[in-house]
Amino acid sequence: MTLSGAAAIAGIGATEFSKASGRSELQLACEAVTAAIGDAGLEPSDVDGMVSFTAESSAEIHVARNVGVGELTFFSRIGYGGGAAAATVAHAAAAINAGLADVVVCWRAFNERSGERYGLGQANRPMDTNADRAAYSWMTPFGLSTPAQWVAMFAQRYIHEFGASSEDFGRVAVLDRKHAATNPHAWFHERPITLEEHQASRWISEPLHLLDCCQETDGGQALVVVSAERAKDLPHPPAVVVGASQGSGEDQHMMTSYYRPSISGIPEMGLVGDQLWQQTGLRPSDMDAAILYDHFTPFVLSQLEELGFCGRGEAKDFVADGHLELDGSLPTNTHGGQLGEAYLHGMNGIAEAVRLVRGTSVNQPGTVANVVVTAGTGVPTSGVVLGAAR
Amino acid sequence: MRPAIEGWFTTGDEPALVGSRCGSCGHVAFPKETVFCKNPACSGDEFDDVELSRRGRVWSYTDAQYQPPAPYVPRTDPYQPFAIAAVELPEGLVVVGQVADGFGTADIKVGAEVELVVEPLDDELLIWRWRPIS
Repeated sequence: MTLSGAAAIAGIGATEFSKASGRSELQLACEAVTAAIGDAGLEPSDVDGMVSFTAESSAEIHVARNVGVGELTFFSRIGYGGGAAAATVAHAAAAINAGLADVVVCWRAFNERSGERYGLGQANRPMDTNADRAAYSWMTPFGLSTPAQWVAMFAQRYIHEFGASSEDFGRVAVLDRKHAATNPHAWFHERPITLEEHQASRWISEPLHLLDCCQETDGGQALVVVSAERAKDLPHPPAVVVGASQGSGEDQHMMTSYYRPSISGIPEMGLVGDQLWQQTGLRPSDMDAAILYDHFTPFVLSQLEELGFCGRGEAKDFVADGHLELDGSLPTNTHGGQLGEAYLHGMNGIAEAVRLVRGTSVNQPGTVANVVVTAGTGVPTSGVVLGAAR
Repeated sequence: MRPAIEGWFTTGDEPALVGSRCGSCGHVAFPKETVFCKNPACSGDEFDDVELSRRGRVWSYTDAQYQPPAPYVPRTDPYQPFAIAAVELPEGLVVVGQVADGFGTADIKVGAEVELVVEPLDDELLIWRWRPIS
Protein backbone atom coordinates (compact mmCIF):
# COMPACT_ATOMS: atom_id res chain seq x y z
CA MET A 1 0.00 0.00 0.00
CA THR A 2 2.20 2.81 -1.26
CA LEU A 3 1.37 6.47 -0.98
CA SER A 4 2.82 7.30 -4.38
CA GLY A 5 0.01 7.64 -6.91
CA ALA A 6 -2.79 6.76 -4.49
CA ALA A 7 -4.44 10.18 -4.45
CA ALA A 8 -4.84 13.23 -6.64
CA ILE A 9 -5.82 16.87 -6.35
CA ALA A 10 -9.08 17.18 -8.25
CA GLY A 11 -10.14 20.70 -7.37
CA ILE A 12 -8.65 24.08 -6.52
CA GLY A 13 -10.38 27.25 -5.39
CA ALA A 14 -9.37 30.62 -4.04
CA THR A 15 -10.67 34.01 -3.11
CA GLU A 16 -9.15 37.13 -4.59
CA PHE A 17 -5.77 38.03 -3.09
CA SER A 18 -5.84 41.50 -1.53
CA LYS A 19 -4.50 43.73 1.22
CA ALA A 20 -7.89 44.23 2.86
CA SER A 21 -10.52 41.58 2.23
CA GLY A 22 -13.22 43.39 4.16
CA ARG A 23 -14.61 40.13 5.53
CA SER A 24 -13.88 37.53 8.17
CA GLU A 25 -11.23 34.81 7.94
CA LEU A 26 -14.04 32.26 8.29
CA GLN A 27 -15.80 33.71 5.27
CA LEU A 28 -12.57 33.61 3.24
CA ALA A 29 -12.12 29.96 4.23
CA CYS A 30 -15.69 29.11 3.24
CA GLU A 31 -15.43 30.87 -0.09
CA ALA A 32 -12.19 29.10 -0.99
CA VAL A 33 -13.43 25.69 0.16
CA THR A 34 -16.71 26.08 -1.72
CA ALA A 35 -14.88 27.11 -4.87
CA ALA A 36 -12.49 24.16 -4.68
CA ILE A 37 -15.32 21.65 -4.17
CA GLY A 38 -17.13 23.15 -7.15
CA ASP A 39 -13.97 23.01 -9.27
CA ALA A 40 -13.70 19.31 -8.47
CA GLY A 41 -17.26 18.73 -9.70
CA LEU A 42 -18.31 17.59 -6.23
CA GLU A 43 -20.85 18.66 -3.62
CA PRO A 44 -20.02 19.79 -0.08
CA SER A 45 -21.88 16.72 1.14
CA ASP A 46 -19.27 14.53 -0.60
CA VAL A 47 -16.54 15.83 1.71
CA ASP A 48 -15.63 13.64 4.68
CA GLY A 49 -12.14 14.89 5.54
CA MET A 50 -10.60 18.30 6.24
CA VAL A 51 -6.99 19.31 6.81
CA SER A 52 -5.57 22.70 7.68
CA PHE A 53 -2.84 24.48 9.65
CA THR A 54 -2.63 24.83 13.42
CA ALA A 55 -2.26 28.51 12.55
CA GLU A 56 -5.69 28.52 10.89
CA SER A 57 -8.24 30.52 12.86
CA SER A 58 -11.32 28.76 11.51
CA ALA A 59 -11.76 25.25 12.85
CA GLU A 60 -13.00 22.44 10.61
CA ILE A 61 -16.37 22.35 12.33
CA HIS A 62 -17.08 25.99 11.57
CA VAL A 63 -16.10 25.71 7.93
CA ALA A 64 -17.98 22.42 7.61
CA ARG A 65 -21.24 23.80 9.02
CA ASN A 66 -21.07 26.93 6.92
CA VAL A 67 -20.40 25.32 3.56
CA GLY A 68 -22.69 22.30 3.99
CA VAL A 69 -20.16 19.60 4.77
CA GLY A 70 -21.74 16.99 7.03
CA GLU A 71 -20.00 14.21 8.90
CA LEU A 72 -16.22 14.17 9.00
CA THR A 73 -14.27 10.94 9.48
CA PHE A 74 -10.81 12.47 9.18
CA PHE A 75 -9.48 15.86 10.25
CA SER A 76 -5.99 16.97 11.13
CA ARG A 77 -3.98 20.14 11.65
CA ILE A 78 -0.33 20.69 10.90
CA GLY A 79 1.95 23.03 12.76
CA TYR A 80 4.87 25.32 11.97
CA GLY A 81 3.28 28.05 9.88
CA GLY A 82 3.90 27.76 6.16
CA GLY A 83 5.80 24.52 6.74
CA ALA A 84 2.37 22.87 6.85
CA ALA A 85 1.35 23.66 3.27
CA ALA A 86 2.38 20.55 1.36
CA ALA A 87 1.82 18.46 4.47
CA THR A 88 -1.92 19.12 4.18
CA VAL A 89 -1.82 17.19 0.92
CA ALA A 90 0.39 14.51 2.50
CA HIS A 91 -2.09 13.99 5.34
CA ALA A 92 -5.03 13.97 2.94
CA ALA A 93 -3.38 11.47 0.62
CA ALA A 94 -2.35 9.26 3.54
CA ALA A 95 -5.88 9.32 4.95
CA ILE A 96 -7.40 8.41 1.60
CA ASN A 97 -4.80 5.70 1.07
CA ALA A 98 -5.60 4.28 4.51
CA GLY A 99 -9.33 4.35 3.90
CA LEU A 100 -10.04 6.97 6.57
CA ALA A 101 -11.74 9.36 4.16
CA ASP A 102 -12.76 9.65 0.49
CA VAL A 103 -12.87 13.38 -0.22
CA VAL A 104 -10.52 15.61 1.77
CA VAL A 105 -10.44 19.40 1.60
CA CYS A 106 -7.20 21.19 2.49
CA TRP A 107 -7.33 24.92 3.03
CA ARG A 108 -5.74 28.04 4.49
CA ALA A 109 -7.39 31.44 4.83
CA PHE A 110 -6.43 34.58 6.68
CA ASN A 111 -6.40 38.35 6.81
CA GLU A 112 -2.64 38.40 7.07
CA ARG A 113 -2.34 42.02 5.94
CA SER A 114 -5.40 43.71 7.39
CA GLY A 115 -5.47 41.50 10.49
CA GLU A 116 -2.60 39.77 12.30
CA ARG A 117 0.58 40.53 10.34
CA TYR A 118 3.10 37.68 10.61
CA GLY A 119 5.92 39.90 9.42
CA LEU A 120 5.81 41.66 12.76
CA GLY A 121 7.08 38.48 14.36
CA GLN A 122 6.60 38.17 18.08
CA ALA A 123 5.27 41.70 18.42
CA ASN A 124 3.72 42.11 21.85
CA ARG A 125 2.69 38.48 22.11
CA PRO A 126 3.07 36.86 25.51
CA MET A 127 6.22 34.77 25.78
CA ASP A 128 5.53 32.73 28.87
CA THR A 129 2.35 30.85 28.03
CA ASN A 130 3.79 27.79 26.30
CA ALA A 131 7.03 26.20 25.13
CA ASP A 132 6.64 27.43 21.55
CA ARG A 133 6.44 31.02 22.67
CA ALA A 134 9.11 30.61 25.31
CA ALA A 135 11.53 29.43 22.60
CA TYR A 136 11.30 32.87 20.99
CA SER A 137 12.44 34.49 24.20
CA TRP A 138 16.00 33.50 23.23
CA MET A 139 15.68 36.04 20.39
CA THR A 140 13.02 38.61 21.04
CA PRO A 141 14.54 40.55 23.98
CA PHE A 142 17.62 41.28 21.85
CA GLY A 143 15.42 42.88 19.21
CA LEU A 144 15.74 39.83 16.95
CA SER A 145 12.03 39.45 16.60
CA THR A 146 10.84 39.24 12.99
CA PRO A 147 10.91 36.55 10.28
CA ALA A 148 12.97 38.85 8.02
CA GLN A 149 15.63 39.16 10.71
CA TRP A 150 15.64 35.43 11.45
CA VAL A 151 16.21 34.64 7.77
CA ALA A 152 18.77 37.45 7.45
CA MET A 153 20.98 35.67 9.97
CA PHE A 154 21.03 32.55 7.75
CA ALA A 155 21.51 34.65 4.61
CA GLN A 156 24.53 36.51 5.96
CA ARG A 157 26.21 33.22 6.72
CA TYR A 158 25.30 31.88 3.25
CA ILE A 159 26.92 34.94 1.68
CA HIS A 160 30.04 34.36 3.75
CA GLU A 161 30.40 30.66 3.00
CA PHE A 162 29.60 30.66 -0.70
CA GLY A 163 30.65 34.11 -1.87
CA ALA A 164 27.07 34.97 -2.75
CA SER A 165 25.76 38.55 -2.86
CA SER A 166 22.57 40.50 -2.45
CA GLU A 167 22.29 40.50 -6.25
CA ASP A 168 22.11 36.70 -6.17
CA PHE A 169 19.08 36.94 -3.91
CA GLY A 170 17.75 39.76 -6.09
CA ARG A 171 17.62 37.57 -9.18
CA VAL A 172 14.97 35.45 -7.43
CA ALA A 173 13.00 38.60 -6.62
CA VAL A 174 13.19 39.74 -10.25
CA LEU A 175 12.21 36.30 -11.60
CA ASP A 176 9.14 35.96 -9.40
CA ARG A 177 7.92 39.49 -10.13
CA LYS A 178 8.39 38.84 -13.85
CA HIS A 179 6.08 35.83 -13.64
CA ALA A 180 3.65 37.76 -11.46
CA ALA A 181 3.54 40.56 -14.01
CA THR A 182 1.56 38.38 -16.42
CA ASN A 183 -0.69 36.84 -13.73
CA PRO A 184 -3.92 38.82 -13.28
CA HIS A 185 -4.38 37.41 -9.76
CA ALA A 186 -0.96 38.61 -8.61
CA TRP A 187 -0.27 41.69 -6.51
CA PHE A 188 2.65 42.46 -8.83
CA HIS A 189 0.48 42.07 -11.96
CA GLU A 190 1.91 44.29 -14.71
CA ARG A 191 4.65 45.42 -12.32
CA PRO A 192 7.93 43.69 -13.17
CA ILE A 193 10.99 44.91 -11.30
CA THR A 194 14.64 45.25 -12.25
CA LEU A 195 17.70 44.13 -10.34
CA GLU A 196 18.58 47.80 -9.93
CA GLU A 197 15.22 48.44 -8.28
CA HIS A 198 15.84 45.48 -6.01
CA GLN A 199 19.22 46.87 -4.99
CA ALA A 200 17.77 50.32 -4.44
CA SER A 201 14.88 49.10 -2.26
CA ARG A 202 15.32 49.86 1.42
CA TRP A 203 16.92 47.56 3.92
CA ILE A 204 14.56 45.56 6.10
CA SER A 205 17.33 43.69 7.89
CA GLU A 206 20.72 43.30 6.29
CA PRO A 207 21.28 41.57 3.91
CA LEU A 208 17.55 41.60 3.05
CA HIS A 209 16.09 44.42 1.01
CA LEU A 210 12.36 45.15 0.92
CA LEU A 211 12.06 43.35 -2.44
CA ASP A 212 13.59 40.18 -0.94
CA CYS A 213 10.45 39.88 1.18
CA CYS A 214 7.14 38.29 0.21
CA GLN A 215 3.69 39.83 0.18
CA GLU A 216 1.37 40.27 3.11
CA THR A 217 -1.97 38.99 1.89
CA ASP A 218 -5.64 38.64 2.76
CA GLY A 219 -7.24 35.64 1.10
CA GLY A 220 -8.00 31.94 1.09
CA GLN A 221 -6.91 28.93 -0.93
CA ALA A 222 -8.36 25.42 -0.88
CA LEU A 223 -7.61 22.08 -2.55
CA VAL A 224 -9.72 18.92 -2.91
CA VAL A 225 -7.94 15.56 -2.67
CA VAL A 226 -9.57 12.28 -3.71
CA SER A 227 -8.31 8.84 -4.69
CA ALA A 228 -6.48 8.79 -8.01
CA GLU A 229 -9.11 6.35 -9.25
CA ARG A 230 -12.01 8.66 -8.43
CA ALA A 231 -10.18 11.66 -9.83
CA LYS A 232 -10.31 10.11 -13.30
CA ASP A 233 -14.09 10.56 -13.32
CA LEU A 234 -14.00 14.24 -12.30
CA PRO A 235 -13.93 17.21 -14.70
CA HIS A 236 -10.26 18.21 -14.63
CA PRO A 237 -7.15 16.20 -15.45
CA PRO A 238 -5.98 14.90 -12.05
CA ALA A 239 -2.85 16.25 -10.42
CA VAL A 240 -1.64 12.95 -9.00
CA VAL A 241 0.15 13.04 -5.65
CA VAL A 242 3.26 11.21 -6.84
CA GLY A 243 5.10 11.91 -3.60
CA ALA A 244 4.44 13.71 -0.32
CA SER A 245 6.63 14.10 2.75
CA GLN A 246 7.34 16.06 5.90
CA GLY A 247 10.66 16.82 7.56
CA SER A 248 12.01 18.24 10.79
CA GLY A 249 15.78 18.39 11.19
CA GLU A 250 18.12 17.81 14.09
CA ASP A 251 18.20 20.67 16.59
CA GLN A 252 15.23 22.21 14.78
CA HIS A 253 14.01 25.65 15.79
CA MET A 254 11.35 27.90 14.29
CA MET A 255 13.41 29.94 11.79
CA THR A 256 16.24 30.30 14.28
CA SER A 257 18.21 27.03 14.02
CA TYR A 258 21.44 28.93 14.57
CA TYR A 259 22.98 26.29 16.83
CA ARG A 260 23.64 23.66 14.20
CA PRO A 261 27.15 22.89 12.94
CA SER A 262 26.23 24.73 9.74
CA ILE A 263 23.52 27.31 9.01
CA SER A 264 24.18 27.77 5.30
CA GLY A 265 21.65 25.05 4.54
CA ILE A 266 18.18 23.99 5.66
CA PRO A 267 18.53 20.23 6.29
CA GLU A 268 14.84 19.76 7.03
CA MET A 269 14.21 20.47 3.33
CA GLY A 270 16.91 18.00 2.37
CA LEU A 271 15.02 15.44 4.43
CA VAL A 272 11.80 16.26 2.59
CA GLY A 273 13.53 16.00 -0.78
CA ASP A 274 15.26 12.70 -0.02
CA GLN A 275 11.91 11.15 0.84
CA LEU A 276 10.26 12.55 -2.29
CA TRP A 277 12.90 11.10 -4.60
CA GLN A 278 12.81 7.78 -2.75
CA GLN A 279 9.00 7.53 -2.83
CA THR A 280 8.64 8.51 -6.45
CA GLY A 281 11.69 6.92 -8.02
CA LEU A 282 12.16 10.27 -9.72
CA ARG A 283 15.17 12.57 -9.63
CA PRO A 284 15.49 16.33 -9.66
CA SER A 285 16.22 16.21 -13.38
CA ASP A 286 12.80 14.60 -13.92
CA MET A 287 11.02 17.73 -12.69
CA ASP A 288 9.51 19.88 -15.43
CA ALA A 289 8.81 22.78 -13.06
CA ALA A 290 9.14 23.78 -9.42
CA ILE A 291 7.21 25.86 -6.93
CA LEU A 292 9.71 26.79 -4.23
CA TYR A 293 8.53 28.50 -1.05
CA ASP A 294 9.69 32.07 -1.25
CA HIS A 295 8.77 34.09 1.83
CA PHE A 296 12.32 35.44 1.55
CA THR A 297 14.62 35.05 -1.45
CA PRO A 298 17.72 33.50 0.20
CA PHE A 299 16.00 30.25 1.07
CA VAL A 300 15.05 29.69 -2.58
CA LEU A 301 18.77 29.24 -3.23
CA SER A 302 19.10 26.88 -0.26
CA GLN A 303 16.16 24.80 -1.50
CA LEU A 304 17.68 24.30 -4.95
CA GLU A 305 20.73 22.87 -3.17
CA GLU A 306 18.85 20.82 -0.57
CA LEU A 307 16.59 19.24 -3.20
CA GLY A 308 19.56 18.35 -5.39
CA PHE A 309 18.98 20.62 -8.38
CA CYS A 310 22.55 21.86 -7.95
CA GLY A 311 25.45 21.42 -5.56
CA ARG A 312 26.17 23.30 -2.31
CA GLY A 313 26.90 26.93 -2.98
CA GLU A 314 26.05 26.58 -6.67
CA ALA A 315 22.50 27.91 -6.58
CA LYS A 316 23.56 31.48 -7.30
CA ASP A 317 25.07 30.35 -10.60
CA PHE A 318 22.16 28.00 -11.31
CA VAL A 319 19.77 30.95 -11.00
CA ALA A 320 21.99 33.39 -12.89
CA ASP A 321 22.29 30.90 -15.75
CA GLY A 322 18.54 31.13 -16.31
CA HIS A 323 17.46 27.65 -15.24
CA LEU A 324 14.41 29.02 -13.40
CA GLU A 325 13.08 30.98 -16.38
CA LEU A 326 10.03 29.75 -18.32
CA ASP A 327 12.33 28.48 -21.07
CA GLY A 328 14.92 27.12 -18.61
CA SER A 329 15.44 23.59 -17.34
CA LEU A 330 13.32 24.18 -14.22
CA PRO A 331 10.64 26.86 -14.68
CA THR A 332 10.03 28.07 -11.13
CA ASN A 333 7.27 29.95 -9.37
CA THR A 334 5.36 30.46 -12.61
CA HIS A 335 2.53 32.23 -10.75
CA GLY A 336 4.91 34.80 -9.32
CA GLY A 337 5.39 33.05 -6.00
CA GLN A 338 4.67 34.57 -2.65
CA LEU A 339 6.97 37.43 -3.59
CA GLY A 340 4.83 38.34 -6.57
CA GLU A 341 1.41 36.70 -6.44
CA ALA A 342 0.34 36.39 -2.81
CA TYR A 343 1.45 35.10 0.55
CA LEU A 344 -1.02 32.31 1.23
CA HIS A 345 1.31 30.24 3.40
CA GLY A 346 2.33 28.23 0.35
CA MET A 347 -1.14 26.94 -0.53
CA ASN A 348 -1.41 29.15 -3.62
CA GLY A 349 1.77 27.51 -4.87
CA ILE A 350 0.20 24.06 -4.67
CA ALA A 351 -2.75 25.39 -6.68
CA GLU A 352 -0.31 26.69 -9.29
CA ALA A 353 1.32 23.27 -9.48
CA VAL A 354 -2.13 21.79 -10.16
CA ARG A 355 -2.60 24.32 -12.98
CA LEU A 356 0.82 23.40 -14.39
CA VAL A 357 -0.18 19.73 -14.51
CA ARG A 358 -3.52 20.67 -16.07
CA GLY A 359 -1.71 22.88 -18.57
CA THR A 360 -3.63 25.99 -17.54
CA SER A 361 -1.03 28.24 -15.86
CA VAL A 362 -0.93 31.77 -17.23
CA ASN A 363 2.79 31.13 -17.67
CA GLN A 364 2.55 27.53 -18.86
CA PRO A 365 6.07 26.44 -19.83
CA GLY A 366 4.93 23.45 -21.91
CA THR A 367 3.76 20.03 -20.79
CA VAL A 368 4.43 19.44 -17.10
CA ALA A 369 4.48 15.76 -16.22
CA ASN A 370 6.06 16.33 -12.79
CA VAL A 371 6.34 19.39 -10.58
CA VAL A 372 7.85 19.64 -7.11
CA VAL A 373 6.25 21.98 -4.57
CA THR A 374 7.79 22.95 -1.24
CA ALA A 375 6.42 24.47 1.94
CA GLY A 376 7.77 26.94 4.50
CA THR A 377 11.52 27.22 4.93
CA GLY A 378 13.55 27.52 8.11
CA VAL A 379 10.81 25.58 9.91
CA PRO A 380 9.69 21.93 10.03
CA THR A 381 8.40 21.63 6.52
CA SER A 382 6.94 19.48 3.74
CA GLY A 383 6.88 18.91 0.01
CA VAL A 384 4.94 17.18 -2.73
CA VAL A 385 5.55 16.02 -6.25
CA LEU A 386 2.42 16.38 -8.37
CA GLY A 387 2.18 14.77 -11.75
CA ALA A 388 -0.02 13.85 -14.68
CA ALA A 389 -2.10 10.68 -14.46
CA ARG A 390 0.02 7.56 -14.80
CA MET B 1 22.75 48.66 38.24
CA ARG B 2 22.22 44.91 38.29
CA PRO B 3 22.27 42.10 35.69
CA ALA B 4 19.02 41.68 33.75
CA ILE B 5 19.16 38.01 34.75
CA GLU B 6 21.01 37.23 37.95
CA GLY B 7 23.68 34.58 37.63
CA TRP B 8 23.91 34.48 33.84
CA PHE B 9 27.01 36.69 33.59
CA THR B 10 29.58 38.41 35.75
CA THR B 11 30.20 42.14 35.74
CA GLY B 12 33.31 44.24 36.32
CA ASP B 13 36.34 44.89 34.11
CA GLU B 14 36.37 41.47 32.47
CA PRO B 15 32.78 40.23 32.43
CA ALA B 16 31.97 36.71 31.27
CA LEU B 17 28.93 34.53 30.62
CA VAL B 18 28.48 31.87 33.27
CA GLY B 19 27.73 28.40 31.95
CA SER B 20 27.90 24.90 33.37
CA ARG B 21 30.28 21.99 32.82
CA CYS B 22 28.92 18.48 33.26
CA GLY B 23 30.80 16.51 35.89
CA SER B 24 30.37 13.31 33.86
CA CYS B 25 31.10 14.21 30.24
CA GLY B 26 32.43 17.77 30.43
CA HIS B 27 29.69 19.16 28.15
CA VAL B 28 29.47 22.94 28.47
CA ALA B 29 26.05 24.59 28.39
CA PHE B 30 24.77 28.16 28.51
CA PRO B 31 22.68 29.21 30.31
CA LYS B 32 23.89 26.84 32.96
CA GLU B 33 22.26 23.46 33.25
CA THR B 34 20.94 22.43 36.67
CA VAL B 35 18.94 19.24 36.16
CA PHE B 36 20.10 16.90 33.38
CA CYS B 37 23.06 17.14 31.02
CA LYS B 38 22.09 18.51 27.58
CA ASN B 39 24.26 15.88 25.92
CA PRO B 40 21.75 13.18 24.88
CA ALA B 41 24.43 10.51 25.33
CA CYS B 42 25.13 11.51 28.95
CA SER B 43 23.08 10.92 32.07
CA GLY B 44 25.13 13.35 34.18
CA ASP B 45 23.31 15.45 36.75
CA GLU B 46 26.11 17.26 38.55
CA PHE B 47 27.51 20.46 37.19
CA ASP B 48 30.16 23.06 37.96
CA ASP B 49 29.83 26.72 37.09
CA VAL B 50 32.27 27.76 34.38
CA GLU B 51 33.03 31.20 32.97
CA LEU B 52 32.87 31.05 29.16
CA SER B 53 35.49 32.55 26.87
CA ARG B 54 35.13 36.31 26.69
CA ARG B 55 36.09 36.34 23.02
CA GLY B 56 34.47 34.58 20.09
CA ARG B 57 33.96 34.96 16.36
CA VAL B 58 30.92 36.30 14.53
CA TRP B 59 28.94 33.29 13.31
CA SER B 60 26.41 35.50 11.53
CA TYR B 61 24.69 38.84 12.03
CA THR B 62 21.89 41.12 10.93
CA ASP B 63 20.30 44.34 12.10
CA ALA B 64 16.92 45.82 12.99
CA GLN B 65 15.94 48.59 10.58
CA TYR B 66 12.66 49.07 12.42
CA GLN B 67 12.16 49.42 16.16
CA PRO B 68 11.37 46.00 17.63
CA PRO B 69 8.45 45.67 20.05
CA ALA B 70 8.74 44.98 23.77
CA PRO B 71 10.40 43.22 25.51
CA TYR B 72 13.11 44.93 23.45
CA VAL B 73 14.13 48.10 25.25
CA PRO B 74 14.80 51.03 22.89
CA ARG B 75 18.42 52.21 22.98
CA THR B 76 17.99 55.58 21.31
CA ASP B 77 15.26 58.18 20.89
CA PRO B 78 14.61 58.70 18.03
CA TYR B 79 15.12 55.11 17.01
CA GLN B 80 18.31 54.16 15.18
CA PRO B 81 18.96 50.73 13.61
CA PHE B 82 21.32 48.52 15.58
CA ALA B 83 23.19 45.29 14.89
CA ILE B 84 22.65 41.81 16.36
CA ALA B 85 25.28 39.08 16.23
CA ALA B 86 25.33 35.34 16.79
CA VAL B 87 28.81 34.63 18.16
CA GLU B 88 30.60 31.29 18.20
CA LEU B 89 32.72 30.71 21.30
CA PRO B 90 35.74 28.39 21.44
CA GLU B 91 33.62 26.10 23.64
CA GLY B 92 31.45 25.44 20.57
CA LEU B 93 28.44 27.44 21.74
CA VAL B 94 26.68 30.09 19.66
CA VAL B 95 25.35 32.97 21.75
CA VAL B 96 23.11 35.72 20.38
CA GLY B 97 23.49 39.30 21.56
CA GLN B 98 23.31 42.90 20.46
CA VAL B 99 26.44 44.55 19.13
CA ALA B 100 27.94 47.05 21.58
CA ASP B 101 27.00 50.71 21.70
CA GLY B 102 28.72 52.75 19.03
CA PHE B 103 29.14 49.83 16.59
CA GLY B 104 26.95 48.67 13.68
CA THR B 105 26.88 46.21 10.79
CA ALA B 106 29.67 48.17 9.08
CA ASP B 107 31.99 47.28 11.97
CA ILE B 108 31.56 43.49 11.90
CA LYS B 109 31.78 40.65 9.44
CA VAL B 110 31.37 36.90 9.64
CA GLY B 111 34.45 35.40 11.27
CA ALA B 112 35.56 38.64 12.93
CA GLU B 113 36.63 38.49 16.57
CA VAL B 114 34.40 40.12 19.16
CA GLU B 115 34.56 40.49 22.93
CA LEU B 116 31.84 40.31 25.55
CA VAL B 117 31.02 43.58 27.28
CA VAL B 118 28.33 44.43 29.80
CA GLU B 119 26.35 47.61 29.10
CA PRO B 120 23.22 49.25 30.49
CA LEU B 121 19.90 48.03 29.10
CA ASP B 122 18.01 50.85 30.81
CA ASP B 123 18.42 52.88 34.00
CA GLU B 124 18.48 49.77 36.15
CA LEU B 125 19.51 46.64 34.26
CA LEU B 126 22.71 45.41 32.62
CA ILE B 127 22.99 43.04 29.64
CA TRP B 128 25.83 41.46 27.66
CA ARG B 129 26.75 42.76 24.23
CA TRP B 130 29.41 41.90 21.65
CA ARG B 131 32.09 44.52 20.91
CA PRO B 132 34.20 44.31 17.75
CA ILE B 133 37.95 44.06 18.40
CA SER B 134 39.67 46.62 16.25
